[in-house]
Amino acid sequence: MLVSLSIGAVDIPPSQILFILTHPRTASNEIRTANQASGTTHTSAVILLQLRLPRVLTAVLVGACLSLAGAIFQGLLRNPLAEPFILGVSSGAALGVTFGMFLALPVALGLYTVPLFASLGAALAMAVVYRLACIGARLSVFNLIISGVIVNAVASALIMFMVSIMERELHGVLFWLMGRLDTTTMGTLRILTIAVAVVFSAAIYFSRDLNLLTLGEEDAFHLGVNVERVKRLLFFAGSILTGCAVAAGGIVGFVGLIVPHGARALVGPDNRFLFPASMLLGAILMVTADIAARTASSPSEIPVGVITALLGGPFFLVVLKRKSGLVWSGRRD
Amino acid sequence: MINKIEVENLNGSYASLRSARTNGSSSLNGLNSSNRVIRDLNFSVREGEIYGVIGPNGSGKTTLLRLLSRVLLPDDGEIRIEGKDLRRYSIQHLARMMAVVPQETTVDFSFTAFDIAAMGRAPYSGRFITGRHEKQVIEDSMRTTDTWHLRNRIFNTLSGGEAQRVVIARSLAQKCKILLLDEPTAHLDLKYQSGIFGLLRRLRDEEGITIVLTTHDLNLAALFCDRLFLLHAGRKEVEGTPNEVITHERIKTVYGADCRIFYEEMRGVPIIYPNVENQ
Repeated sequence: MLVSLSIGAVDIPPSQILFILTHPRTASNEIRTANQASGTTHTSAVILLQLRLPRVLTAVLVGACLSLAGAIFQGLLRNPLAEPFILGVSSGAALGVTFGMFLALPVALGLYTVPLFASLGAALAMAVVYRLACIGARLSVFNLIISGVIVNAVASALIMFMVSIMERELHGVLFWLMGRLDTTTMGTLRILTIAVAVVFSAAIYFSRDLNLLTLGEEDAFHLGVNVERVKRLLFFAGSILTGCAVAAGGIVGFVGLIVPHGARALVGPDNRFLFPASMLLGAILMVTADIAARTASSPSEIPVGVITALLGGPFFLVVLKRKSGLVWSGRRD
Repeated sequence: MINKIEVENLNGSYASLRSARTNGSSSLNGLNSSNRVIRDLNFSVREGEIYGVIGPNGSGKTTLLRLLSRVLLPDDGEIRIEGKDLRRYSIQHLARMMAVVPQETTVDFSFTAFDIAAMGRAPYSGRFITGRHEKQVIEDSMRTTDTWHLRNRIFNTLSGGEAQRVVIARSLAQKCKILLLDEPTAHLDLKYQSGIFGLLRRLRDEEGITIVLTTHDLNLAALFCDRLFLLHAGRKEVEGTPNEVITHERIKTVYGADCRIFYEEMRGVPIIYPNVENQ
């Protein structure tokens, strides 16, 4: 499915250069086949593999991370509009990274810096959003969205502040904040992949408990779920996923919103199936969006975050409108 | 008669849910006692009976139920289930013993009725494998509550009575010994009201389940409950059989409403008829 979709996307009239890339890009969704392909096709493909393969893998990783994070947040907050970007968690991660850059720590911690700071930033933002939204005993959906807006604003302001006094690499940081996939190295990817694999396993392990949590916390408790522990763990998992995604691709909005909805339409609301489906679908969407970002105005590139925001914004409004009767009337929240 | 639930000197107040679930200690000891909703309650529920908690709005019925289900922890006093302090059960063990049917169940995602009922197996089954035995238990539970034909319907699209029955099926799938229900018939029409109570009676007789419920409907309570507990401003007004509890004087003092009481011909169950002229 992944492969077929990426072929389909490439079939959309691309520029001459991109046409040559067909084989590697198709193949690069699976490294093994990619290696075979590089041996048999154009020698230029080898070079392209070295440039394009990390990029496509980054797209896969970012899409999978954001979608899984979105699915987790939506389940935890029992809100179909929850998403790392909207909640301000992505901004938090970006703030973490910018702060790391600001302190010039990459020298000290090497490849681990960016993911680490991104995850810390994301976790911090999640904690703040949660605290803000928790005013009063029950977690209100409305509060949560508002808190997300606030965290987004403050984080963006702090990022802008740090960028403005950093001067160097101004363009790089700004472009990265818009979401781009071409700056990641294989080394970083390896670290991120391991982190994501661990978090994914944990998320799958607790997916059944998350199903129960969608009934409401009290009901989940009556069904034997250690509510606080599961919630903390999954919030943390979502934060790490967001951190990894931001570390790899900057702020890419709305993927975590669109994909879980699509996946839910395909496999139903059971998180045990929804999680893997979201990751797969997220990877597909992201690879496709990346192709669009590269081809739409080639030879220059649009940040991929622009594409997803253009897709996601209207989608958000549709979901909001459809669910508004349910979400905003504040039943049970 | 064995006492299934024993409550001793129970005092309780509204509380943060969080503090109650995470650890055994109550963070409410510093709370002003005027916030107390439940004051010095003593009662016991016998095995295999339907025990109705009645009382006016704000008398503490729901708080009492939440104390019994450990969503809230008592300020002081003790609740014992089968002789053991409620706080000493693990969350999972508790879920195998006691099921709770909330007043209303809302689900934000499109789970089917079967999915919802299957969630009752959570305290037992593995996280992923749903074996034949598990499916059989779920099917039996749904058949008992007459919801098997609804299994593929999306839970959100069910009517109030259907949804309530699916949630009771979930409780049965939990293989609970004790069933707590908060206003099980609050939003239901006449047919479903008697349907639910008839079902509860069957569960008591056939499965030997001990049932504790709160209700506003005194007539249904009198008709279906073995014993009643009348709460008045968080205190015990009286406990006993419907005939002992529901008297003209008590209804007048507790509810502040004048009424006449008739007695049904077959079993002599009290029927309350409000006196409209005097209000």
